[in-house]
Amino acid sequence: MALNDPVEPEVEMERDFVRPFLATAGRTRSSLSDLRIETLVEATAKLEDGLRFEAARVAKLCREPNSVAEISAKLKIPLGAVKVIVGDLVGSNHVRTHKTIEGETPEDMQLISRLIAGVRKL
Amino acid sequence: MTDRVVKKNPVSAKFVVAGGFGVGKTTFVGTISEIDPLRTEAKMTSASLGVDDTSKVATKTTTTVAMDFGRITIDDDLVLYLFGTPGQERFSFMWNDLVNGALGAVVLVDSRRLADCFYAVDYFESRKIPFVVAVNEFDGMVAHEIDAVAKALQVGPDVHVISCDARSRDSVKNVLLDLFEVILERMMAANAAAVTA
Ligand SMILES: Nc1nc2c(ncn2[C@@H]2O[C@H](COP(=O)(O)OP(=O)(O)OP(=O)(O)O)[C@@H](O)[C@H]2O)c(=O)[nH]1
Ligand SMILES: [Mg+2]
Repeated sequence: MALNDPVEPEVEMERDFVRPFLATAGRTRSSLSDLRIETLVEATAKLEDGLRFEAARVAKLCREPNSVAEISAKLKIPLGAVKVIVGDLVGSNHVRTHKTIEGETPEDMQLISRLIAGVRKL
Repeated sequence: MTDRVVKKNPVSAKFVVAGGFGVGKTTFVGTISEIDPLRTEAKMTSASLGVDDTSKVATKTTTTVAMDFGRITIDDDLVLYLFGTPGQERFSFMWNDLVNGALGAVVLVDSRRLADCFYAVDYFESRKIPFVVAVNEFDGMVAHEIDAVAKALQVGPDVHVISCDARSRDSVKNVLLDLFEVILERMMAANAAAVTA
């Protein structure tokens, strides 16, 4: 819920960009607060026609899975704005988001083992 | 346009690399990342309300905070990201957004400026995020310094304090593997607790 948490009184992070996801479809999975900087975003098969400029660029980049942070860095869009755009694109079914491994479920254990094996091989 | 066939469900994980200003975070990330560290920016608006009560006008200043991160693609469906925190403590309000969901953290320490890492250690300890303390070898580290650092930080015996050279791939790799060990221990302890409960 980081985005909805009260920020320190004197500091507002990109408040202008942060608005509730409700504007589109209100599906819980795609709420902005689930979107982490490492969350991979991937385009669906839906065409990008009709999307406004920045949203179209994001959707296009995400034909290959890219994290929220990568979208921000590669397209030079501030993080907060990327989250809003991705939230909208999830709502309009142009992209979907993938799970992150946070070490909390039993299936995470297997994934972590694969991460370890991978790092060992580096 | 050709139809895109969605094949796999890739998943990602994140490590955070924290520590004081200039301690080697970007170097650490760059050493192990498969890409040159990318830089992402967040715009922050600080409204200095109440500074000048008579005017009742909030002066707004916008600061851009940059963080850099690297990527390790383990497989076509598994990615590990490393995020360096902004070094200056005055940007620490960004940490929640950065750290939420992190699998673990590395606290980089320069033993000559030990106090710079207190904030990070406290932060991860209080949020129960698995972390290791890696003492960066700026002047060549001697083993006893590691013990001294561990003592000075007043961390529990379960917290690993190890030495590292952020410029060496093997060294960075070792730190990450050490962190994974801590994460696994933590998960197994949690599982065991769940079983006996
Ligand atoms: N001798 C030595 N120098 C290092 C090591 N790691 C980093 N440095 C140097 O220390 C300086 C700072 O390193 P950075 O990686 O930029 O540090 P940082 O923590 O990202 O700095 P900020 O983002 O500004 O807080 C650079 O000149 C590095 O080359 C190390 O292990 N040994
Ligand atoms: Mg840096």
